[in-house]
Amino acid sequence: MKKIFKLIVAFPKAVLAFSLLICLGIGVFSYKLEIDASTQTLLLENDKDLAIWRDITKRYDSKNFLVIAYTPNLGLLNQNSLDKIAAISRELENLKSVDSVFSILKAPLLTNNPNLSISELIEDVPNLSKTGIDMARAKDELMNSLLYKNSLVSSDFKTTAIVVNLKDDETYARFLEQRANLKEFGQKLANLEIEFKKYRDAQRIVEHENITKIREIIEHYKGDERLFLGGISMIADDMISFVKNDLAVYGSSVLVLLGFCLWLFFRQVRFVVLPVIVCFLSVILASGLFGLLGYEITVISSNYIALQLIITISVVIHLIVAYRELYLKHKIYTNAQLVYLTLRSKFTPCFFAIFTTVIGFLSLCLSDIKPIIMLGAMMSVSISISLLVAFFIFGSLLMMLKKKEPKMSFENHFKFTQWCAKFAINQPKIIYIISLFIVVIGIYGISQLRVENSFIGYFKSNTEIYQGMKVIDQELGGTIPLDVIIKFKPIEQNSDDELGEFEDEFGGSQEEQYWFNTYRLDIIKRVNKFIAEREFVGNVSSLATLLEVGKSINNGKELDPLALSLIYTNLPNEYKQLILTPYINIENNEARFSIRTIDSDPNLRRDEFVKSLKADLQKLLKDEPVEIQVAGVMVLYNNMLQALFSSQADTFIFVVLALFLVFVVIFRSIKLSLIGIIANLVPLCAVFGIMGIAGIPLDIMSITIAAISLGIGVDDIIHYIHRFKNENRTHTISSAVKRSHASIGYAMYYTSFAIFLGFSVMSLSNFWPTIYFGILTDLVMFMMLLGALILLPAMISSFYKKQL
Amino acid sequence: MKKIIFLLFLVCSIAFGIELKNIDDTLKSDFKKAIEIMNDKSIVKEQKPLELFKLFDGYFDYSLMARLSLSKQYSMLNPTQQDEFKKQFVANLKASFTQKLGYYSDQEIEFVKGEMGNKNRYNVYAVIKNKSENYPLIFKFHPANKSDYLIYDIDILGVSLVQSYRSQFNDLSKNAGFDEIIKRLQNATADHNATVK
Repeated sequence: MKKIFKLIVAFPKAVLAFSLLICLGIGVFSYKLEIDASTQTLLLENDKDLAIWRDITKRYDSKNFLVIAYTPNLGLLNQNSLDKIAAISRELENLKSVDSVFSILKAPLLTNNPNLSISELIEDVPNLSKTGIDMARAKDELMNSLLYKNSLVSSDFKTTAIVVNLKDDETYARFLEQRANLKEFGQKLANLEIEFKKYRDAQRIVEHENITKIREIIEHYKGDERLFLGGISMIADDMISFVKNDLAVYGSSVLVLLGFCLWLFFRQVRFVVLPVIVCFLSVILASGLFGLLGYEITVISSNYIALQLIITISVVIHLIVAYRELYLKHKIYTNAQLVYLTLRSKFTPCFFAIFTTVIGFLSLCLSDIKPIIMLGAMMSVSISISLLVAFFIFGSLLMMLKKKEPKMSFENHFKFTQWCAKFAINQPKIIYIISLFIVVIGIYGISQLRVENSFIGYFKSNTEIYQGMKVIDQELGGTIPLDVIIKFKPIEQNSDDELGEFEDEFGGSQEEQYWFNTYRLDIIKRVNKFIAEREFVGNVSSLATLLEVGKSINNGKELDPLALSLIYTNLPNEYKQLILTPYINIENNEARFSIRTIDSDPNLRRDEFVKSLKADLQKLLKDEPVEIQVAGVMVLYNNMLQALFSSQADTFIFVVLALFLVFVVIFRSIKLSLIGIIANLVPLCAVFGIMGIAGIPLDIMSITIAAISLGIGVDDIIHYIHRFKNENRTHTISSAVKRSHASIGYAMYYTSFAIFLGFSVMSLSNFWPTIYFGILTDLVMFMMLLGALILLPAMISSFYKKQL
Repeated sequence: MKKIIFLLFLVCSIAFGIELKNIDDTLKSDFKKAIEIMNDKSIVKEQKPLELFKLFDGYFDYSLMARLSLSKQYSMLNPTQQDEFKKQFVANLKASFTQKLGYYSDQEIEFVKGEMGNKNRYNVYAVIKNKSENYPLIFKFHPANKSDYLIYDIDILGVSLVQSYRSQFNDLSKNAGFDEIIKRLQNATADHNATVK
């Protein structure tokens, strides 16, 4: 190491040129870094529910769709409103990616003319786009038919949905299938992944353009009326937009605020520009590397830039503070000597700080979730990069600048760290009592922690997507889909030998049309009723809905199995696909219930909901030999979060133990290592306790906060104890504590304050994950700083007896 | 041997039927009568299906249809239960048929052809004619009493009536009781109650 530092000091220009070449050479590839927020990116690859879900989507024709919620001023059935719906539908249908548009105009009004027989009705189905419609009856049917109420029109009959069915992305589905088939073949799979990625990148742009076009159409017709766009596809697209926007806005404003803090502390342009350059180059180099490797940023890993900034700025601030300190101590030294000494003295603590942070982040790799693994891997790589860039760039650049007296005005006027030292030494009891209190409250708070993933909850209430989703959620039957599949047992053929050749005629294989029998229909009706009455369920569609509708056109009498067989055999294929195939699969002997859940309900506990739904269905059908499956994006996200939560909890102990071992190696003292771990755990307890008490749910973003907290907290402790041990060689414990506070304490304080201020700007985002991330990072920084500046020295004073 | 016993059983249970050579003519004339009934404004709507049943009742082998529908389960019932089942079955069949009749308006039934399915089967093909479409209908006859033939199944629009009933019962477990069988039949009948438009 010494040789490398000597090299930096001896040939700063060459080192700088070489470093810049690498940074920029690789950095240019950062343009290749793509953001992928599709649901696929966030799923557990080996989740058995994922296999079930993919199977179900293959078997049942479920189109991807967007919903436009429209609340006309003049009433839904006013001719102007209907004309507007017609015009919007026409324009939407002209879009390339739109398959079809369904609205109240196209909704079959089956009871509009009671004089029609069923055959006449089927021949020419009345709807609002046709003439001679009885408007009063139409309103009545739209409001009361199970097909439409609370899904196509709101219960107050003020809002209607325009459903935009998107074309199936067959190529995407084919890629997924091929990928599943190629699991065993490394090279072929790798090639496929490359092609798949290219396709996804292109497709994202197409999808985004499509949504933009739909939005333009909506904007064009909006006027002073309420017209919102929502739907699962839009969530992904909007998430990408928000993440991209946040990356740009907050990435740069964090950098600006960091710069401001650096100026506040150091009052020298060089100590503002240098860290900013180091941060910038580190991020560019890491991003370029990830781009080169074809990585995709997900909603989760989009954090990496912010996190890398934190760690980089921490390293650089420690270097600056050390340099200034050395300068004041050895005023006669040349700049080269000072830079060399700075690099040398700071390498060990910085290396271990980064090393332990890497351990924290690598713990994420033990989870099953690809984006989390990626975040762990990306962070481990990027902070290692930061360490190198910081030492090379900072060292070489500082070498090229003239030696200049540091301005200590801030240190001279700001005595916070000294106050902390005194408090720690003089009032240990108060500190312990407060810490104990924090731990108790923290444990209580942690017990209240919950893992929740609300899609609507990601967005602030003033955003368009939130408002749109809320209208669809609360007035038009819910947003997030969930499927229940009831699989009936295979039928054993029942034959009577005495019936001879009649038995041959009828006893053979059961044809499709005879699938409908009262037994199955009865179960389907029971299940449908059961689900529909459940809390948090919006709209439920199944064969039972169809039966209800059938009843309404059949003078209130149920369609019997024979009628269903007749319908099944004689219904034209296009209608069959519309009303039957989404809900039954005769080949597999199963029925599907398509549910939409009310995502915006704050009381919805997804894990509990999914589990109890399944358990209660099992109870309901305990005497029936059927299999029950609950599947859908909601289940998969929930599985993912639960797996993440438990894996985080499981690896936490492992990480703490690993950190403890590293501490033992660095500090060469079990007691100091224990003290270090405790000083780290108490603030962590506080952070999670506050999250639990404040009701901030752990979601895909905030769940990584534990790893981040540990990483950041450990840095402070390593730097502090490293310094303390050095001071302790020549000073008593209390004097060593004070001296550490007066030197390294500032570096810790600066780092924390700069990051605190920088990240607080994130709370202005429209995207809750970003807001929580900002707030939680601030909280972590604050608590960790207090832990390192107060609890840690207090414990050292009380329990560490190694004297001179 | 079983087949012979079965045939004997059939012979004893059947009252009358149509001779093979008369089937086509009988049906042709009965279809005409049926159209007359349907078009007869002096008969109220609700009464029409009953009139139709009067016309066709004679050559329906309801006993066999009931038995075919329940298949294996039928032989597990005692004679009283079998009678009860048959009664319920016929009621159900008529109610269901009546209801289906209500789905269509201005229809006419027309004889197409009659032919031997195999040596023991005779099928009469007909169509229900509507304004724009023809719905196929097959009356399936079997020799119930030597030369006398009876209907044991009707195929409406490609759906066999007997097969449709069989599907109601074929997932009944072996130890399902009579009550369960009747319940299923009643469930299927519950809403029919002679509804005609």
